[in-house]
Amino acid sequence: METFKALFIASLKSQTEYRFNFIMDIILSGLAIFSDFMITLVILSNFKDMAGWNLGEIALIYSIIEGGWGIFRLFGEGLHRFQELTLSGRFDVMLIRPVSTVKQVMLQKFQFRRLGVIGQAVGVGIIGALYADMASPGFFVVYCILIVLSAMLIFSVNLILSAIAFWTIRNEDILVLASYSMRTAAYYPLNIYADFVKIVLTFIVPMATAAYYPMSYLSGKTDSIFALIAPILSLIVFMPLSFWLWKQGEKHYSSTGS
Amino acid sequence: MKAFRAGLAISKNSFSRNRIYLLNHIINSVGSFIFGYIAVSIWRALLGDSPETSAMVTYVMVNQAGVWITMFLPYGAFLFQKVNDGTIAFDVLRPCGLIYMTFFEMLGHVFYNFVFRYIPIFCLGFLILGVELPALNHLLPYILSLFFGFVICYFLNYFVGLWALKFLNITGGQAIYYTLMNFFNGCMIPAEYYPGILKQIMPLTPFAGTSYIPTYVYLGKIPFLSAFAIQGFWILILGCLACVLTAKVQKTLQIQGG
Repeated sequence: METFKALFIASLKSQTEYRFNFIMDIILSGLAIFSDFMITLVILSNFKDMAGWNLGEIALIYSIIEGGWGIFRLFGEGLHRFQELTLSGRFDVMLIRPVSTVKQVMLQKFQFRRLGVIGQAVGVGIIGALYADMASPGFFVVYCILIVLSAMLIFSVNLILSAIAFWTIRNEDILVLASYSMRTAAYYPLNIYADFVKIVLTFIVPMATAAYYPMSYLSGKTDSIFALIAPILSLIVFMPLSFWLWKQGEKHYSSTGS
Repeated sequence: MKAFRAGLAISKNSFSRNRIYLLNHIINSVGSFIFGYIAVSIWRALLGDSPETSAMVTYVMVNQAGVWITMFLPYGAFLFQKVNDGTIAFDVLRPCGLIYMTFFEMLGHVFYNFVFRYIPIFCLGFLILGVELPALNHLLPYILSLFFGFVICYFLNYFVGLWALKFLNITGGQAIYYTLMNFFNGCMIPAEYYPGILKQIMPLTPFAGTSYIPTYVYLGKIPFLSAFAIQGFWILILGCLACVLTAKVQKTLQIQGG
């Protein structure tokens, strides 16, 4: 915990050295991601709903996924850019230190400009809850828990995708395929997709369990409690699996670079 | 003629450099196809089984294939990377000029993207999602309009590169580029779905010249001459602006790396 605190403060100090730049980066990063939601907003301004989901409910799904993504990128930038370590061979150094390699990779850098991503996601979520007539103190407690669970789920998916780099060295294109595109697919109600995609988003890259299923329960579209606890069920399966795969990858790792 | 041959040699090198990562790009293209599939699913859910749906499927998938030519170009037209490693120092000394050199470098990159990304994504769209082929008399104007779209996109990316030369940081410039491009290029929504005055403004922006206009030429929904006039106007304006800004930025250029 002491190491975490020290590195957190060091990262914060270095990134806030140029304050104006830092604040602009936060605002512009948030705005760039928000432009994705603006497109949904424009589309839905022409229609009453999307497959039975109104704008407020879709805003909440987006908000939970993006909020989780923002938290992951704030703390997990090192993991997200893991291929830089395998490509340069810098991962070798981490293997000889008496600290978990996952922790070391995670602690490399905190990216504070992602606060803008979290900020816009929470803003969209609050307005979405008001629009969908769901805003209440109880709802917002559940909403905050869902964002944290979403961040954990995104972390475990990304840990699996990073572990692939132990075999393939590069993994950025696999990230586009399995993380970026699946995350974007999870912004929208699952019932607009074909069955195959529904299965992928529920069981293989389970992004839909982070927001779509819990929101189905919270908006009264299903009364199955399993929908509400779907992110917890996913985490029970995926978190140990992701760490196991990482360990296997570590054993397989053969250095690169010069 | 000599300068043109030098430009082609730069393009050829850029093309060959990309070929090293062909397998990665194939994986990436599948990810990109999924983004197109998400857009298609959204429009199918909204429009149902109407004749408009089929045109919209073609519109979003042609745009999705085209983003690798008219949106996702290397950050800051390679300039940011060159500022970081210091090789920009050699580029500004070359007799052919920075704009000319980066243009041909990007042209090689985009030609690679056309062969190994555009065509595979388009074929997947045609085979799986039912994308309609263009009328024969629309094909040549479409290719020309797509090329003009690339030139506009190149200049916009070049400005992001100049931003990096000026501020030694690309985050802000890239975020502004992504936000404006994402919202105004009409990749996912055609102009008629924009609210109020944006409906009239959007087609006239340089951003629409990269995706919306070429795809409307493909579909035969815009007179060719109007399309070329809008794109030609922006190429002229952006080209002049690029010359002026390059001269200004080069005077204050700080070289890093080495």
